[in-house]
Amino acid sequence: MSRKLVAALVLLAVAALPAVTLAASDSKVLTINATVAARAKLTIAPSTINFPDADPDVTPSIPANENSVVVLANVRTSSAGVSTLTCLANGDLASGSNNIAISNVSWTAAGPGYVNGTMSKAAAQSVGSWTGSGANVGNMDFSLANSWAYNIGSYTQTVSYTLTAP
Amino acid sequence: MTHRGHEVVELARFPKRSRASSFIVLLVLLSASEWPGELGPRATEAATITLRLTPSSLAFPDASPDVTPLIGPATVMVSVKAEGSPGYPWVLTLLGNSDLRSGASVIPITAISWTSSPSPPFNNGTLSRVSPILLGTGIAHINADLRMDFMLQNSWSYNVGSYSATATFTLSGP
Repeated sequence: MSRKLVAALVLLAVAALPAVTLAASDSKVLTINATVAARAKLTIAPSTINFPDADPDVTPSIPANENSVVVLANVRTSSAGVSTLTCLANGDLASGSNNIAISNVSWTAAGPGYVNGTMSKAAAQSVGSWTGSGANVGNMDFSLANSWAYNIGSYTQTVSYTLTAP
Repeated sequence: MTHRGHEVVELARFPKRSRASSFIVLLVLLSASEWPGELGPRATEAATITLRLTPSSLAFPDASPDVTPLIGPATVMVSVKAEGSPGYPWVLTLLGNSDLRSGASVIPITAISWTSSPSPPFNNGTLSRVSPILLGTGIAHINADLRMDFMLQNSWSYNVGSYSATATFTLSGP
């Protein structure tokens, strides 16, 4: 009988006890995929430079009016991939039948991966190289070696820049 | 009368120490109703919790960072069904389980963000692999379809590859 009484008391206590709230949860997994492909984008601004007339004795090296030229070589490649920027002149500076050798044009470069150089119409010249992906910003200051040998004229030429990302 | 009297007799025979113990147990159990935390409003079973993703995967295509600085949206519909009550809210979180990886190459999972609709009760946010991000919470019953538009921050710094990661939605309630 005493056990019944104790049991009754316990039952009474349990009945009076607010029920324990059972925590519930649900989880779901989302899979996320992303594709990154190789690509390259080259920006040069401005795209035209001009060397003014100057006395060879006073100004043996004529800076371009547009210096500094901004170069942005953006590449996506593998982490070990080496991208390159080269330039190749399409000829000498020409004014009618008069020429100024394109090798008289040179540049100094600033920015990670960029290098100084001299124009050539025979072989592509290195402007810069980089390992891995990134946006590679640089500046180039062009100059023309001045000379009394140059004939009067308005000379012009184009140079092709090529950015390659493997 | 005899029966009741018998009971009284039996109670009187019940050891005093046992009676005292039973009384203490009763008091403790009764006082438990004042405990905070896991003890709460009367409920005999766990509330209904349902979480469903459609689709359960999303993909960000390749794109030029200059043309498309944010890739997407990649949309996921999240069906949320939960019950809450004052002091016992439902909670929906999202946790990135890792960064996006392609071999040794990594895109931080924080490059992925989302906008939620409807908002409120759901929040916009940016994925993290460090701590769960609160997507929403409430104390009222909810049965809603959450639209999440995911965007990937594009960058020239990403290496070429096919990246993958997972993120876990967790809906919990009282």
